[in-house]
Amino acid sequence: MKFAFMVYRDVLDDRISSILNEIGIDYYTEWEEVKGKGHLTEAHLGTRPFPGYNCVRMIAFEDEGKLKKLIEVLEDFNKDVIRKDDRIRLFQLPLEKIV
Amino acid sequence: MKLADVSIKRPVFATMMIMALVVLGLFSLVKLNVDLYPDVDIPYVIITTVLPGAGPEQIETDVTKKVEDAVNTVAGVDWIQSYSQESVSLVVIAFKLEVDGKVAAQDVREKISAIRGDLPTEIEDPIIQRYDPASFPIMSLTVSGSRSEKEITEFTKTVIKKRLENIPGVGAVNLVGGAEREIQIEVDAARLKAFNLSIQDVIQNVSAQNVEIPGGNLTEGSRQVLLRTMGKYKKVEDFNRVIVATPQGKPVYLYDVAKVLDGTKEQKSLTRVNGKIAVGLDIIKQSGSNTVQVAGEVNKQLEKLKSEIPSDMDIFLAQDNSIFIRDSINDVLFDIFYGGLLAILVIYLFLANFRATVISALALPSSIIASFIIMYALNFTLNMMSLLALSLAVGLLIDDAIVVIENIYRHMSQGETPMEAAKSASQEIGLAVMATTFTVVAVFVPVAFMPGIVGRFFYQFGITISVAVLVSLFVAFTLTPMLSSRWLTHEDEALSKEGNILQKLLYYFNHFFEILNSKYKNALAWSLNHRKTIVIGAILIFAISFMIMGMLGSQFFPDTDRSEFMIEIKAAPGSSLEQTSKLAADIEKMCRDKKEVTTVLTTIGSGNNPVTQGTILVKLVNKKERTKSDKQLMAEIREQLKYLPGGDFGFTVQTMGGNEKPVSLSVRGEDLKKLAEIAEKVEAIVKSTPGTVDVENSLEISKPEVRVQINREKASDLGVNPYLIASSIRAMVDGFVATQFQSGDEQYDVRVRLQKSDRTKLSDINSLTFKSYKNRQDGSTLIVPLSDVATITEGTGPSQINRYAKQKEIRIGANLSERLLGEVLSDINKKISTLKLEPGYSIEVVGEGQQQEESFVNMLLSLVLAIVFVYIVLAAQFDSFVYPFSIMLALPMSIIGAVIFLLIFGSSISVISLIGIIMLMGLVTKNGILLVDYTNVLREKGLTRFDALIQAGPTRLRPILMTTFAMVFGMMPVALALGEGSEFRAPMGQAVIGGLITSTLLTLFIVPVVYTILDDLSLKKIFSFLAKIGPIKKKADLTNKIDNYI
Repeated sequence: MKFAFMVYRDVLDDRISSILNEIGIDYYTEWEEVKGKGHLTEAHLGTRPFPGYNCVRMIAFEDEGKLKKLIEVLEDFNKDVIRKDDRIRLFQLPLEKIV
Repeated sequence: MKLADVSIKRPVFATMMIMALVVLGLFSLVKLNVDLYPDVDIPYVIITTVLPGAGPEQIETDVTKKVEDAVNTVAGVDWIQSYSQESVSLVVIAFKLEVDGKVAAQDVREKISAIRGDLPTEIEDPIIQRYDPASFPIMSLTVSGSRSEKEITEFTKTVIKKRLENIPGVGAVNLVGGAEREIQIEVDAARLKAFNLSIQDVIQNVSAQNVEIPGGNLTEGSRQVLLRTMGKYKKVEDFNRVIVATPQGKPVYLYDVAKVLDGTKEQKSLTRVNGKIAVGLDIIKQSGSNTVQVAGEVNKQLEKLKSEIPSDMDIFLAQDNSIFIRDSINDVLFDIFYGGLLAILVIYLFLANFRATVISALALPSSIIASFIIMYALNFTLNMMSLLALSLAVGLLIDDAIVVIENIYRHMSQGETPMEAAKSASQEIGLAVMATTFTVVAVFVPVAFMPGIVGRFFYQFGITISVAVLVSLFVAFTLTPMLSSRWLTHEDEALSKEGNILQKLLYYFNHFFEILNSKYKNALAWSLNHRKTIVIGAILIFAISFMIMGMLGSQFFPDTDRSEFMIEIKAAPGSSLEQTSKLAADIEKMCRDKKEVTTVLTTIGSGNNPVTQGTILVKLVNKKERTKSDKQLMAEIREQLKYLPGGDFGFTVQTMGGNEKPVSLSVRGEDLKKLAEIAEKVEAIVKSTPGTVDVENSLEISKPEVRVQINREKASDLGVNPYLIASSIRAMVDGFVATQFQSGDEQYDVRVRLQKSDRTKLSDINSLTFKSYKNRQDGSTLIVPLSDVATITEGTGPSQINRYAKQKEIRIGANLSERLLGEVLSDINKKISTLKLEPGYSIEVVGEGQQQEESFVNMLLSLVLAIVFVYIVLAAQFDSFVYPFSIMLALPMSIIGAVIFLLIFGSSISVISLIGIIMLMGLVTKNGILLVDYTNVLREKGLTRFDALIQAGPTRLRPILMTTFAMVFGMMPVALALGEGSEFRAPMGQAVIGGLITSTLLTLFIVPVVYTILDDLSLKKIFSFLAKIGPIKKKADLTNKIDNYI
């Protein structure tokens, strides 16, 4: 079982939803309007100089095949992105138990 | 930017919000009334009192002064002006503008009824009217034909007038000129004397023997019957049987002493259209009704009437105000349409993208249409001022959408999807767009609430423009990002040198823009390194703009060619109607000989004017169909009139300032003789001042008159009193309406007076007789001739006595030719200041000159208020006391362009061009806002001040130039003044275009330079302040650090 955190710009939220939908992932927890800054990218602090926020989705995978598929799609997506800011980050962690 | 986010997420919701505004706007548009100017409540009350037969001096003493004293105590009176002329007293009371006209009129009514007992008993009931622009005729018709004047008048009165009165929206139809039916009893003075009778006997008996009085009801059992005394004559001839007296039981009938005629009223007015005698009909609309709609209905009814009236009669539409209104409104709509189109083309040129252009262009109609909702809610009309606001706002309404879409586009070019770009770009630019819109509103709200009458006229202008830009802001945050997120694509339209003409044009334009951008970057860097030079240059340019302003003339409102003018005729004092008519006929011929003239409508003695005064309305062909202007034609006719003896002539043109002569000087004091001497000197000064024509002195002292001086002792001895003498003279000479004769539904006056041969010569007046209340020794009534109780002398007297602020006044008026009001008045004032006046006598500039001065002061106050509001908005938006100053440095830089453009177009400083300059204060801050806002963003991101400015300038150059060009081209049709009456608003467009161009060019360099200077000052001051209060020891090190940072 794996645990994944996806962090991305809030403007990409609709696109993430459609990606998850395509893969058949209909389970997640989302945090909206999350502040943050990536390495060598613009901060997203919801201020005038640093407009916009990030979004975080937490997904617990029992079926690791779907996680693999998701990682593939995100890697493809990130290849086409022009600005570093628009890349979607996924952090994968082991998951011990789901109650 | 929540609003933009919601609109992007919920496109249908966003569309429906705008749709709702558009639907409501269209619904409001249909309901909006159309008029020439806004309906402004000018709280003037006019009291007209008629005392038949009284001379101006008697009117002044017995009526005018008493009325003035009574109304002077009413609260809120600003000034009182009065005119005492033959038989008529006219008192005009101007209340302060905040006073409600209806309440003021009611107060005046109460005061007048309180002094009614002090006024002469012979006066007709004073007429108290509130000044109502809606009470002026909207149309004038004439009816002429080969029949007798009496027949034409009768037909007009009983058929045409009644039909027109029944049209919905028509308030009144007034008959002008013509010969109205009147039953005349012409008394033979000799026979009256022979029968030992007086004219009062005739009047009393004619009145007493033509009565019909209800006698109540007779109740006879269960039956009730009405009782009426049928004493009215059925036929005109029946009046012959009136028994005037029964001396020794033998009746004396009316036919024994008088002739009864079925005639017409003595003609005191005349109407003539294109040389033909006619009966005039003035149509006045109901207050609040739509002029254009009412005129349309009248025109329909006229078409019907033309087919129904006898073939030997003709109806002619001499004047129709709705035509000018319609033309003016169509012209403004033309300006709005083509202005909008040009602005959209400019956007296409810059964006080179059809979809982006359509999205920004949609802001234009939706903002204009939505503005109609507020216009309807605030009871505005579609008039010259409200539509002028929309025509000037065309380039402005698209601005917010341009800035938003340009930023979206820029984000998309950095790789974002349209949806993402719409979200992030709206958020990034939101504050700047709001700031630009709020500064525009901050400028126009003070314009709307400007004091004075001019302020009242500009209320609708200021509010309409403010509402329109606020709606455009709403559209820019809803419809624009929503449509951009759904409809914009990454694919640019092919910009290629090889494609079609359009593609080539777009390619070269954008290529040129890229070069311009890099050049600007270099120039900006140079400016930032040469701050002193830039600052000195800016100060010099500002100083030069004031020098150029001195070269411009000034006037109240720009001259407008309305394709018509009026010639005022003042025939020599004592002239009869026939003589004035002959004089008018000569002038009519001069006018009709000009090929540009279509209609000549003459009116003599209309309203309360004497028969020596008349006006000729000269209507010209459309401005586009002639080579000569109205001014040139007036000059030609003026030249011909120099050789026409028998009267004085003047020209007037309807302007926003009314139709008074532009140069107007008021000479005031108590003694009329001394006043006349001063007025003569002032008149000579005005005549000798270059640029004045048609100089007029309101005092005419050569009116011939016959004065009857009653010897009270003799009159008392002979049993006659002054009242009896005066009233009998009036009845004998002017006549007395003793009763009414009913024929069908109409009632006609029955006038008793001496036959014409007994009242023409001075000797006839001497032999007038009166009945004494004393009897002769033989018991018969004593008849007293006038010569026994009074001396009769001939003399001259003033034909009109004017008063202002309860002092006698003489007005010197003049028209202008080839010079403007400001220059002429300045010359006149210099010469007048050399005159030495006795205490109690004064000379003051009034009329247009006074209004111009007051308006200019009020506008200056509005300008100051606008600047203060702009500062408040900017300081609040940027959360800084300092940055607004760097943005506002664009304001003085706009004046140079405005004055240069006014000079190039031959326009002047007027209320209209000054409104343009005030408008600029709101528009030109936009460039500074875009520049400073982005500089601040970049600095907060960590860039140095220099780098931030160097990056912000070129990044913002595109939206700055796009919005500027959109505004310039949007206002181009207004500035070029192509349509009927468009000269009126052209200077506003010219000032705005000139100001926008120079301020844009200059602020691209001056704003960044001043930004750094103010930044230095603020930093240095803060640090030096901290050094004083805090434990900073290494002062020198700190200053070095600051300098390095700078």
